[in-house]
Amino acid sequence: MPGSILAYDVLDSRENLLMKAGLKLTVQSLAILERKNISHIHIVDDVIQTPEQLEIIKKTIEESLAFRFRKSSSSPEMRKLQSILLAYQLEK
Amino acid sequence: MIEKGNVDLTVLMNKIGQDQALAARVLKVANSPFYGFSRNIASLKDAGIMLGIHTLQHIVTAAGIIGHFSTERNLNFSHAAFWQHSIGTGICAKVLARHSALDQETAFTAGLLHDIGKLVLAVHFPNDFLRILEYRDEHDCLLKDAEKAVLDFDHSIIGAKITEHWKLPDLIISSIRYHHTPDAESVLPLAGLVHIADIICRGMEIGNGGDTLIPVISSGVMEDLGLDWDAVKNSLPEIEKLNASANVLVEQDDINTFDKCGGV
Repeated sequence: MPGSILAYDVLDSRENLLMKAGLKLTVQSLAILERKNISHIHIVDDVIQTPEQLEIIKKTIEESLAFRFRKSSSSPEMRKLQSILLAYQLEK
Repeated sequence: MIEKGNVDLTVLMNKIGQDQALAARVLKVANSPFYGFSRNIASLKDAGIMLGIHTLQHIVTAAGIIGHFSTERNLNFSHAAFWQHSIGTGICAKVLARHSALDQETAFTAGLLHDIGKLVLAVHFPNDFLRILEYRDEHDCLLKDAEKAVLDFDHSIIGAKITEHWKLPDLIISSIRYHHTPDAESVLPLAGLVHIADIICRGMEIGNGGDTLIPVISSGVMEDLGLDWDAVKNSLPEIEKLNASANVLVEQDDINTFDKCGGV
């Protein structure tokens, strides 16, 4: 499902890194996995989350939001929205 | 027909029934968890009775327009991500409409169609669209700003023109036209609602309308709508839940095909 987070790195048949653990899956990244014939991946819900994995997830969420808000965070309304979305996603 | 607002249910059912693909899509949407009916809606007549003509009109509009674009492609544009963002914005507008005393179904349709001008550009003017994407990447700017730089107008103008041509209600046309400038003079509140819904969806990363950036919320729009941050915060789980059930609006076959075409 788009929105799921990869628990482990995804490698192709030649052991090349395709996607790093912590990546939030999108429609596009799932399509890439399909094209590369990757039939199984582990998402964070599948595995017991270690503190390290939780830290990766938290960092990924923060970085992803910071990237999208990179040119709008000077607005107080946008900073508020960013903090609400961060809290919501971390809570999930 | 839908524009007139006083549609007879039997006449509408007959019209839908003449288009098998549209009828099938309407039934699929009516039976989806999005509308929450436990019983199976087996016929258009049942759909009309269960959903009411007002809701049905909006489903038909959405299904008809999505269906219209389902066979057209642009390899530089992820149609699946586009529709996910559009549906997400429609849902967000619908949920927030409750707090603003606006009609929820109209809010959904307005949100769903707010970026339709982008799709027209991507599908019918692929060379111009490619120049816009290049400008966006080079200047790290919003797609709408790239459109203005390259074409001297943006997708909101195109969206308003095409929905005017399709004879959609003025309220929806106006919300498409002003969803990036809801603070302009005499703009109706629905444009502000779509503006906020679009921004929240971008923040929640629901689909992708062609940007990695998020526009700034126009000042005063939240107040004008009677929205506060608690309402936004409390709406997020419902938006996410409804969104998970609403992708039935876009056929899975379409998504698969679109995804194989690549992304923005």
